[in-house]
Amino acid sequence: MRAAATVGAAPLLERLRWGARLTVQGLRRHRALFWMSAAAFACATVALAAGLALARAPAATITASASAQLVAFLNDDLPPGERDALAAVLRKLPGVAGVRLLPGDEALGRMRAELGPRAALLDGVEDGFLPTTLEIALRPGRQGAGRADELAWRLRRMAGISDVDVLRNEADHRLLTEQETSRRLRLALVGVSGVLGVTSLLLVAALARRRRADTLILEGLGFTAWAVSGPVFVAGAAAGAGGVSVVLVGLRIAEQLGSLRTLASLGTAAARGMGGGAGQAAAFGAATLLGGALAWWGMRLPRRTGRGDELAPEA
Amino acid sequence: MLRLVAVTLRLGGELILDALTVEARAGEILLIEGNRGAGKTKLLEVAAARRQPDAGEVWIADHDVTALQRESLPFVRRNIGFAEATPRFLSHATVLENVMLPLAARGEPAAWAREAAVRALGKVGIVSLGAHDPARLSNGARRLAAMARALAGVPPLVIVDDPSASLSAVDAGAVLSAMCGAVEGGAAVVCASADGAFLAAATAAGARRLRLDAGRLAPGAGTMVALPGRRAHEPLGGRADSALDPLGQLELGS
Repeated sequence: MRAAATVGAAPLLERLRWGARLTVQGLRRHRALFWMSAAAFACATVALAAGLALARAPAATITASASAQLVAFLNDDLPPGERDALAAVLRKLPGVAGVRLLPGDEALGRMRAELGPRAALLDGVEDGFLPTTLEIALRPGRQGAGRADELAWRLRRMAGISDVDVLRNEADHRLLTEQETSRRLRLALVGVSGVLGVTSLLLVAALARRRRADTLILEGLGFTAWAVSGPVFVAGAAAGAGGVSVVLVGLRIAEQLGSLRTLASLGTAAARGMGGGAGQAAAFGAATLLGGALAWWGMRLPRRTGRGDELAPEA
Repeated sequence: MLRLVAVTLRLGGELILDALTVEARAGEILLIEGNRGAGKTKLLEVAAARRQPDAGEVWIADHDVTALQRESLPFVRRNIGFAEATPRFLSHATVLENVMLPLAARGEPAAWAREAAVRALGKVGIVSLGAHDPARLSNGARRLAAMARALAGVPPLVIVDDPSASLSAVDAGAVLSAMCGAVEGGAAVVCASADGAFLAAATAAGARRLRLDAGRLAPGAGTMVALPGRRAHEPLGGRADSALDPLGQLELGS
């Protein structure tokens, strides 16, 4: 057989065949890292879906049976005109159902009435013992419970108000606790998905770095940059796409499991959390591109073009 | 086939190759001999388009490689069979798969590549190792596999670095025989070695010898040893089966 030089690019079909072959060989060589990357992508997707599902959860079925109420204690030296003006401003705030000015003597009378037989305890107490207060009633519901604390915080900073008490019933307490727990859980899930996402990206990068030695060999043998980086990109993209696909298919299956209602509702919630079909397609596409791009970036060798440089340096 | 013109290479401020001019023609073996540190390996790396010289020109098949863009180098490299002194292989791929790679770079059909790879393994006598993992091979077997990989694509330029190290006399003879086979096919073979026995056997087989000393050609180097019945630069046709058989002239490498 005579030695002969080849000139120009090889036929596209053969290049694609060899690309597929090298991709499979590469995945076979680094299968542990590949599976770890895919698993990390899957876990990150699950955590993200759960976080989004919580964030998009419908309004609570329980509502406060009674509104939360604020009692703002006014300074004694606040002129009556300013008290009325303050009450008028508060009435216009969103979520405020009503504001009532309660003079000190009226408050004392109410206290006596509430004490009933033990009202004698207040004998000798002067009319100016209790300060004038503003009773602020908030509208019932999920928003109102959380808003009471926020409004109390604002009122305490206002001139003319010495202190503010928040009075809420049991339902409001439950709502508040539920809101806080949900918020913390959501933050935790988003955090976990972030950590897992970064981990999956690092694993993909490690997968690509492990293939740097292969890159050196292939470049030395005359493979073009595309022929070398193509299989690496595909491997990274496959890890991302594979991980997300497993989750999406799992959600679909969970949605269909009518007999296992809890699992079905969790699947539905997570699927909806991801924004339905469009959101899931976006997650799939993003993970595929991200995995591929990071793998490609990870396998890149420093490009040195100066004279005296190795063009295919030793590993 | 290969022409290095006034090639100078510096590494870390040290002069490795000093305005070196060397030519290897199609159908000949060019032996580069020299002590350790003479610059043989670096010269081969420059000749194989794997290292850019600081000055000078590297002509391979009438193309100045130093003037090519980096993106064009793969098209040059796929026409060069390079058997490194410390060969590297794709891990977890078989020897056969590794030997097929130069043909994969050219986009040859897989069946044809496999056939050529098996033939190349046969030339160096390791067909039976085709299914092995290169990482599990001995140094000698890895060298033979590297030689097979260099020859598999029947490239017009074959570059071999220290081919006889870690090899038995029989295996070194097989390598020399394979080199001669490439020359018979019209290739130019450039080989660096410090092994006196191998150099002697290759010279007896018709190779031209150059001596490299501290990055320069030694005075009087470049002599051509003509084989009986052959003219200088004549391809080594029909050599390996008769009195020119290098196996009979090769002794254990130093």
